[in-house]
Amino acid sequence: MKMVELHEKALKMLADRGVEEAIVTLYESEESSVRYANNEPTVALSENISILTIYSSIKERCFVGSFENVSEDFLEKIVDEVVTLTKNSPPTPFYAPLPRGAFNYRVGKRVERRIRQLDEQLVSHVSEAVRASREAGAERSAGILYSSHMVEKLASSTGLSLQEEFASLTLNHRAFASPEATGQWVSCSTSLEGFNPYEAGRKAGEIAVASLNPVLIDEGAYDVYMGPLIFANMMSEVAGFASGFMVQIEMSFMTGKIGQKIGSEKLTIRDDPTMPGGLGEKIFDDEGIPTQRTIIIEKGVLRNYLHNSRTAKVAGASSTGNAGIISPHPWNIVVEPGNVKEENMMQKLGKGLYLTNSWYQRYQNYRTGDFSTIVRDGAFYVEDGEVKHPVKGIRISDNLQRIISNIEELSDRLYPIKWWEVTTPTYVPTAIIRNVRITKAFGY
Amino acid sequence: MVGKGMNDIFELLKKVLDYAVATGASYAEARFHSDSDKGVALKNGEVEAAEASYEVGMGIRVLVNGGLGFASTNMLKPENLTRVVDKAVKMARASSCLKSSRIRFSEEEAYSVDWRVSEKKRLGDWSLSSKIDFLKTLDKAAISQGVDVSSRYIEYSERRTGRVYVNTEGALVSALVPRPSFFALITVADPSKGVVQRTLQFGGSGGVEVVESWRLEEKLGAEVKTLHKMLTESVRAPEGVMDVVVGSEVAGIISHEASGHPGEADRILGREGAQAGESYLKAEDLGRKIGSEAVNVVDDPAIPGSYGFYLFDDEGVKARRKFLIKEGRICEFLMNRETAARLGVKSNGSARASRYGVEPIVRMSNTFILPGDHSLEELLSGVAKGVYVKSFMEWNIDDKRWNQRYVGLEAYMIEEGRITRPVRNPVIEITTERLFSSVDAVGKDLDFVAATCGKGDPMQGMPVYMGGPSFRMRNIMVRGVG
Repeated sequence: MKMVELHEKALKMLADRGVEEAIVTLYESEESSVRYANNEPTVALSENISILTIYSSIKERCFVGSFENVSEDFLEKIVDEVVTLTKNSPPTPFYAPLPRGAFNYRVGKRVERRIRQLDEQLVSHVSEAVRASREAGAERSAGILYSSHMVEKLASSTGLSLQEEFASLTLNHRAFASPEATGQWVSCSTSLEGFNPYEAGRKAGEIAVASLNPVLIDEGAYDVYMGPLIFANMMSEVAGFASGFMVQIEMSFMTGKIGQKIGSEKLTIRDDPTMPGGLGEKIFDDEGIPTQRTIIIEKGVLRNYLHNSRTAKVAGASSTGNAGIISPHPWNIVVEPGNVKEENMMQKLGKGLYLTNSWYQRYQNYRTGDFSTIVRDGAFYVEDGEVKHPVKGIRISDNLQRIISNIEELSDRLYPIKWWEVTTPTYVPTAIIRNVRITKAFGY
Repeated sequence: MVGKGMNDIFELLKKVLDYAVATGASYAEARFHSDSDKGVALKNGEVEAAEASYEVGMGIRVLVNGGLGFASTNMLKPENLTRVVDKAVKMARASSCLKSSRIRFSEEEAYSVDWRVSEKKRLGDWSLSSKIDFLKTLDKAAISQGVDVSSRYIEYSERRTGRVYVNTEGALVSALVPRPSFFALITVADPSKGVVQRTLQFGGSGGVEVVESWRLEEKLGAEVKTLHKMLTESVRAPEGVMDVVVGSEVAGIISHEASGHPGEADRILGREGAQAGESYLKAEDLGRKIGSEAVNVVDDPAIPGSYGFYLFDDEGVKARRKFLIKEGRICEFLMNRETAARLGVKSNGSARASRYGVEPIVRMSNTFILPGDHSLEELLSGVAKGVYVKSFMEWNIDDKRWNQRYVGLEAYMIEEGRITRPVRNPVIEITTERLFSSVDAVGKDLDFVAATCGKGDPMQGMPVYMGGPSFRMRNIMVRGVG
């Protein structure tokens, strides 16, 4: 006899107490990681958790919440509280009925379960990345390697009973050739085969060594060759602004621009949770709707926002399978590659800057897209398609729509990126962007 | 702490410590940590949904052969806890093999103490419908200023954090902190001028009386009017080297970014190298001159009602005020027990963990520039031509905390010692040393803003205050945008 699981029990209890619609999801997650700095592990981390999330509605009154350490006794108390909060909330115009239908879910997702048993082996992977940076000439390395495994089980009042499993390895590695000469690279994969800590360490080490003795340059507009990390940072921001929720609270430069040309013809961005083996591969969303490929920007034209049922209702559109109950979001961002071979990108740039990484992107105005971000790790001045010298102390101070409008070339390969600054998995080529505004600080 | 009494929790924690020692840990600590959250948001005046969450679990940290392991779980049955401890010990032992020196913790007094933040008006007695009425009043205040507020998102949240901490040296610290907070994103539009935006955050520790002290209705109305003025009346900011007076909000972000973060000893020693970065400071930089004698920056967790309030940190060390910069010189770093031991001193109680599932790391609490004796009028009166920057939106700083940028939102020209026309988005982009060295006078109008500081990987969002009085900088570069 099949045991009734906690989320199914919660769903039945909610229905028994008069909740009209509910989705209850149980997440069971195991994660191990090793942090390191100055070439040595600083701490080994592990987490083993179980979380129950609940959406409920009664007469267009809605509740959203999550609960932990849920024992059988505690479940009664939680369900009572959820019912009270749902009833006490006023009806909301954002309420949308839970979608029903004969949904077809993709089958055949492959999950590498060996990832969850790595534990001590993580330390040797770290050691491999550190060794590679040293061999490339860097003095020291810092970073973190995560191995993650999760099972998600969803049951809904509309009769859904779904389950999905996830596993991934992500390494974020930074090498130091001197305090101001650094390089960063990542290795992210859903399979052990695709995970390459040595390569991440080597690339980071090479960038760090090439960054030795950086010099200051003048401010102004430069043509820029963006490597995968910095371009993924920009593109994950762009795709995040396509969230119907962000659009509706005007926290997005895309508000009101469906059908308009907002970027270069070279730029096509989609959310593609259907990508087999993708870091953000996902079968169903938080409402239990099958996920789908959604084109956000096609050849520079804004085609779609990302919706859940609630934001879709406000917009008069359909869900794109991107719930978040309150705020929809992308799962697996993919930028369509171009046709320039990676090794020819520098030549295509000609004269300008080759930038490898950025962080701390902040906005003066989300609605207009005015922002600045710090360029970090390797940054280089380029002439005649060749690096002349590393540069330091610069910032991109520009506008996000202007940046994507000035994309001139994209390389022909995709890099999977996920790290501290790029939290949604993002697959990008490298890019050449014309006339990027570069500023630097007074006092250098 | 639903379902478990204090004694039950204490016994469970003690068993975990005993088991960790029995399996090879030379030191162990265990922290039971619960966060009970409630919230509600209005999107353009309408309720989204009632929201609540309950996060609870245990974080366990061990030293094994000089390697550090941290494990956490929210499945608190004894058999699972032993499994989690086994993993922490196993992973710490594996990582110790690659270490050239053993991790040690500074020697500290083992306190046995219970501390709590009291609520004059309990948050738990504030009903959902009253909170919604309150938010609706605020929303009305925002839209009734005769201005086109094209969008507004406002959110009230409250968190009740309970902790019980024990370690193998005999410390037992329990704590309870309620924290209300408020967030708003306001967009003001004009058909010919476009849009201007402002995010606002308030937070504190205590009950409903803390929320009342924010005077949000009055402030939201005033902010909307100011935004409209900046949108419709501001002129391009002047460019060039000139004097700048900044308000408390800007002073606060400067104290946090250019003094607080670089003063974190874990950054200085390289432990955050891959993520939040390192620091312009080195371990031997105590006493280094970084600014004028007018600059004094402190971090003080013990400010009553503050968002970053605590009396004992998450390593059981007693909290105290730290002088980060004293009369322009680097005075003290923020330290936990690990970094203090590396530097050969005692911890100054700066270890914080944002939830049960993360290790305590070096954090700020309430960081601010100490007030001086000038009124705002006196600060302005000495300026022939300059800019007064009262608030900001965009900011960032490099990962050594040297190269920073603040873009003004509410800002004005200063001409012959008086505030005149509003100016649009003046940009201050400057190195830390030049900024602090340019300060010649500091105001007495100390104020704070609440913020959530991000650091660590896994990311830990930490409630803090940032603050300071208005202050004046001489001869720095200002630029305009747009």
